[in-house]
Parts: sequence; structure tokens; C-alpha cells
Amino acid sequence: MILKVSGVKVTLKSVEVLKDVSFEVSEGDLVALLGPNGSGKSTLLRTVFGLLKPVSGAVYFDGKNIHGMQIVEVAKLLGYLPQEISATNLKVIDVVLLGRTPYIGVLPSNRDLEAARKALSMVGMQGYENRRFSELSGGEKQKVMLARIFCQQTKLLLLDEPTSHLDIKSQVEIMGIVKRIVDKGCAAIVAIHDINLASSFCNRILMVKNGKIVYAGNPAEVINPESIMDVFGVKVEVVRHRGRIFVVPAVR
Amino acid sequence: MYASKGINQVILTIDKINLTKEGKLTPSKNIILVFGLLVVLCAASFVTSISVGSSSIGFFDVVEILLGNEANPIAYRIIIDFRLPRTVLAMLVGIGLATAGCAMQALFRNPLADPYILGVSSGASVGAALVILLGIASMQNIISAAFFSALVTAYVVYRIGRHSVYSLLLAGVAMASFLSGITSLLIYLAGKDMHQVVFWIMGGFWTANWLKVKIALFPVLFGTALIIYNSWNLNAILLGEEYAVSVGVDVDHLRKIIIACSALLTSAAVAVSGVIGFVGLIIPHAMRLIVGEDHRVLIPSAILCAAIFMPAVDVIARTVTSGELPVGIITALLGAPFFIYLLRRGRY
Repeated sequence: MILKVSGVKVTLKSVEVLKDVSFEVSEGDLVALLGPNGSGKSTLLRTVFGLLKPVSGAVYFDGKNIHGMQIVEVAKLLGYLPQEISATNLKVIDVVLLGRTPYIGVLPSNRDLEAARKALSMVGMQGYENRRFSELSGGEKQKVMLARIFCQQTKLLLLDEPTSHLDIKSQVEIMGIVKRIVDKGCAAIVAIHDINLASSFCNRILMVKNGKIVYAGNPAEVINPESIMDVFGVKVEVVRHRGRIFVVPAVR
Repeated sequence: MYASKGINQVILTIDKINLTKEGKLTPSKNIILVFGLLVVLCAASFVTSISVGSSSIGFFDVVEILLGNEANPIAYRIIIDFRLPRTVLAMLVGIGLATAGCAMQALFRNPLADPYILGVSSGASVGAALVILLGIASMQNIISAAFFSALVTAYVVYRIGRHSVYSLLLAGVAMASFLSGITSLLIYLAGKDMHQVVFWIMGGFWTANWLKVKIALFPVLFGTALIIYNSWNLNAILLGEEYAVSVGVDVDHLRKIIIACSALLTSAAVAVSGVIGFVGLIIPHAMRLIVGEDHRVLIPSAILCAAIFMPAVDVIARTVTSGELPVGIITALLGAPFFIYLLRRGRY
């Protein structure tokens, strides 16, 4: 177990957004956070990264309390990808190099540049080094973001909807890269809306409703018409085929 | 006019570099070339600004005098006592405003942010006007009053608006109009004594001397150095505050440092030269269009560009008519069309 979230309660402007959330993540885990908009997925990721302080409960990484650490130390352990990123004309390689920030003094060295190049080829974006970040497609931008996190050399990835607004090929590529990074001895928590994508790549699912984790387990245990009705309030059919799970809307 | 032609030359040359960029030239070679040109132009602007004036001193005579040749005592005194401090002051003010502009535009992620956004210029005007109204208007008093009231204004604006970038911008705008009202009131009450305050509203270098250079030197060097030191963190903040945090940047701390440095730079500039608009807004944008958004390159190139631009504009201000034109008029008349030209051919 590398991450332990125990009894975390978070209030934003006197609204209780997270209510007593507890779970654990072990090495090799690829965890999907499923839940409707506003259920608290982003708040949970922000809290785990240390951006929001819980009013009670704590987040432990390797036994150390995240909220007692400096942000630069947290950034060496956790790779957080926020949902919204401003447009910038920086070159792709410079955006990736930003992942080295926790390790550099004033400016990055040639060693950092080498790490950034390696990270870019790891996500299949070699040859994009000198392109402007703002000129990339949505899928390419997210791959660059993953390269950034990869050269940040963290043990746990916190990704806030990395596949939203992407075409199906990019979605599959992004999740494939995340899976590859996890298989190298990391873990990841991914907020995601596509249940089928989640069940294809993730070994664990956490379903969040109104700031609480209401279902947790592997995809086969958790994904069924009842849980989805409960969490999302929508009627679906769950089809099992060759050991895989497919969720389709129940339309007659 | 010599130096402004020079600036156009850079743009034309860079056009050519851009054309061949897709081929072989690596970007680092481009940047070395740009910096080389900027340094040469900077030297040219420096010498031109010293040699041109009501009594022209030849280019080579200027170089000789700068190297310590006192053969012509009148020319020597003109240069050492008047032209040199004026040129150095113009460079310092330009550097301060351009660096603060770069930092503020990055911090606010707003292309309209400029060094005066914290209400510094109107704060300085109130300080100067008060000193004059109280009848204690020595040059030193005016400068220190302007400097400290500018710093206090920046601090008050920061305290009011520190919760978000938007409230900071709006607090600056509100404070600026409030203080402008006070300045106008003071001018109205004091009548004809207040022509000195008009200096702060127009801006210029015609009262430059070594004392002003001494006053501006430390704040400009210190503020600029600290902003350069944070150039990598400013890169991170381009992608958003939350993104900067995600790569380990302490954004609250960074915001305080950048705002304090900008306030220091701008207050020092305003206190010694009055309000010179446009430089802090346009030079960072112009260099961003040419060298890109990477602050490791952008800030040094904006510094060089300002050190070329400001003395060159001052040369025009003191030669284009028989008297002295306020520099702010020239920066606007020359800077705006040049910037529109860049905007039309750039990738904004």
C-alpha cells in the first residue's frame, strides 16, 4: 500500500464536499474514479495532492502525511494533472521539462533535457519537441502532459479527466500510456466519465456519489445496472461478453 | 531616428530566419542571432543617445570621451554631466518597466497587464503633488515621496485584491481612478504651483542627473535580478496556477515575490522619470512575438530591447522639435504602430 486516505472530510465555502472518504491504493493499481459531475472527484484528487486541507481525516503517502509536506516535496511523490490547463505558446519540450521543476535549482540542466526527451518518446511524441504546445490537438496535449508527469518521476499519478473531449483513438492511447507507466511500478487514480474505458483499463473502481465512496472493488464486482442507477440515476444494461463488461444505455 | 531604423532591421532579419527555420537552423542558433543583434543595437543606441542633442558630438569623439579622453573639456562635461546620466537613466527605466511588464503579464496570464496595473503611477503622482502642495518640493523630496507613495499604493492594492487575480486587477483599476481624482483635486487647489506634477503625468528624462541614476539603480538591479531568478517558475505559471502547483511551484510565494518586485521596479521608474506608458506593455509583447514565451529567453531579450528602445525614443523626444517633447508621447506614437505591425504578422 502506498496511499492511504482515511476519514477525509473537506468543506468548501461551508459546503461539505467530501464526507468521510477512506480508501487505499497499492503499487500496480490503476484506479478509476467514477461519478457524476459535482460528486467530488476533482475535490478528492486535489485533496490527495495537498491542494485542499481536510477538516478531519488525513492522506498518507508511504506513511507520511501529505498535508504536513512542502508542495515541492509532494510534487516529487505525486504527479497531478489538473482538469484545466491554460493555452501557452511554449515549446512542447519546455512544457515537458516543467516536470523536472521539483528537482532543479534555478534552470534545468542537460540531464533534465535528456529525461524530458526520453519521456516524450515514451508517449510516442518524439519529433514534436519544437512544436508550440498551443498548436497541438487535444489528444497530443494530453500525451505531452503525461510525458511531463512521467519525467516528474512520481510513484502515484492523479489524473483529472485526462480523456475528456478526446476522440476514441486518443482515449485508448492515453489510457494505454497510463497503464504502461503504472506497470513500471507506479499507481494511478484517474477521474473518468467513460465506464467502458474505465473497466477496460482499470483494475479497481471507486464510485463517488455526493462526496462519498459508495461502491469500491474490481470492475466485475462494482459495475452493474443497480450501482449505476444508484450513482448516476440512469437506466443501463450491463452486458458480459468473453469476460468483459459493457455498459450500454437501456433504450427500448 | 537611427536607432528606430535599427529596430526595423531586426524584424526584417528575423523574418528571414523564420523562413529558413523549417529547414536546418536550430532555434538556439536563432536565439543567439537575436541576442547578438540586440546587443549590437543596444551599443548603437547608447552611443547615439550620447552623441545626438542640441550640440552634436561626433560618434568617435563620444567613444573617445567615454574611454576617458578629456581633450575637449566642454564636450566632456556635456557628456559626463548631462548626456550619460540621461542615457543611463532612460535605460534603467526602460529595463525596469519591461521586466515588470513581462512578469505581470505572466502572473496575471492577461495580455493587458502592465506595470501600472497596481495603481503605482497614480500613487506616485499623489505623493509628488502632496510634497509640492506642502511647499517642501526639493527634487529629493519629490522623488522619495513619489517612490514611497507608489510602494504604499501597490501594497494596499495587493492587500485588497490578494484573493484572486481578477480582484487584484479590479482593485488596481479602482485605486488608480481614486488617486487620479485626488491628484486632480490637489492640482486644482494649488493652482499654478502644480506644473511640476504635470511632469509625472507626462513623463520624461529632461531632468535626469546622477542622483536619479543612483536612486533608480539598486531597485532596478535588485527587482530585475529576482524576476530573472524566477523565470522558470514564471514558465510554469503560464499553464495555469493549479498546473504550476502540480509541478511543485509554491504559487502563493511566487505571486508575492513577483508583485513585490514589480512594485519596486515600477515605483523606482515612476519616481525618477514620471509615467511613461506603453513600454511595459509593448516591449514584452513585441519580444514574445519574436523569441516566444519562454521566460529564460524572453526576460533578457525584453531587457535588451528596452535598453535599445528607451534611449532611442528619448533621442527623438529631444531632437524632433526645438524644445523637449514628453517621452510618453513618442512611445505611444512610435510604439503603437510598430506593435500593430508585429501583431499582424505574428502568431497571436
